[in-house]
Amino acid sequence: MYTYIYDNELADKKYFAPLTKIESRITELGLGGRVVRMNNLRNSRDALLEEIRRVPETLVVIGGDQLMSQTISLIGGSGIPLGLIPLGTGNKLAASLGINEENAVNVLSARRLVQMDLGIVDDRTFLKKAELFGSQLALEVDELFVLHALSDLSINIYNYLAEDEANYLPKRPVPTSGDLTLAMFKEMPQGFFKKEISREVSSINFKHLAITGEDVRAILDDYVEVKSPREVRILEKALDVIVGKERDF
Amino acid sequence: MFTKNSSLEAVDKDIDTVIGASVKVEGNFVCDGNIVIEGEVRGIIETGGYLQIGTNAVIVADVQAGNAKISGKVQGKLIVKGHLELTETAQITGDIKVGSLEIASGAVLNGHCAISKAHAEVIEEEGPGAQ
Repeated sequence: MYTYIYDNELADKKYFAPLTKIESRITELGLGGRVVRMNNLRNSRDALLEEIRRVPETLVVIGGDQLMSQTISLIGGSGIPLGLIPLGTGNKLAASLGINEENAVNVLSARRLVQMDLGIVDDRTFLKKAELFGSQLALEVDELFVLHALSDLSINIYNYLAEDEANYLPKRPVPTSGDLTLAMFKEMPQGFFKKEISREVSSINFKHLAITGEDVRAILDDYVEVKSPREVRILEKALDVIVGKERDF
Repeated sequence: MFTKNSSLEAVDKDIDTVIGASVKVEGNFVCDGNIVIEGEVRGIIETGGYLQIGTNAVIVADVQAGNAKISGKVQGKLIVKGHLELTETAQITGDIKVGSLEIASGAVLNGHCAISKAHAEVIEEEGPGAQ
């Protein structure tokens, strides 16, 4: 049975009409199932974990990137296929997966499954990127060598960078490569008006990263925070996602 | 807002790994594919692909690469199976063993140098189209 997770934002009456249209199409295509509505009074993490424990045939998020990211951070490795119907604010991820509000239910029905890699920071998974913060960071790559930042750098770990996002890396990370990409950036304003940004980039592909440092924390997919993370690694083919034909990888 | 990637300017290869000027690497820096280093590396560098060491890079390591272009400082043994290019700013302290060698005026090389045609032939056999 399908389980549909409704974003709490969809309780707003402005989403009544588009949601009704989506629900009608779901019924027409015989894809009906259990409905779970998030709301501000309910701990969304606990609610999602409860649904994952029920092992639905497919878990479908109806909402935006934030709920999708939170779901991905919990569902990775479970073997439960994940679908997405974008509605509400923040739907960049859906677009990258070739899904929009109009085609979403048909995409769900076509059930084109792609096995995507995930990154995992300690026990929390991410689909796109993990931002790493801290001081005196030492990053040990694949138990071979250690990287030290010699000045203030922005550190991101990418599993997936969408085609329409700014890419300063030599190769765009895609979630079927079998590697994560460690990117370290130093931004240097240049020119008379300091409007031109020159970026010094370091980029290394890896499978395992051990982290040491002070006041370390990670933000996964812009929404989920992990305090004092110790390691990052790849989970190859850990997530079955229903995607559209027009996905960007 | 204009942006550019300063680490990858003037590199016409398909680059897999980049070490920028603000990063230091310690240990066995073993990678697949093509590498650009602008920062500091101490230990060992190994790649079967192309290695480019930038003008301000500091390498204290034994180095093995398929082909290489060096503009910075390298202290250690250098083995390049194919072609090694030393530009005018290169400073090498250590023995080198290469398939073929090109040295620009101004480059500094302190060490023994062995050029072995056998190395270059191996690279040609292993090159594109080889079975």
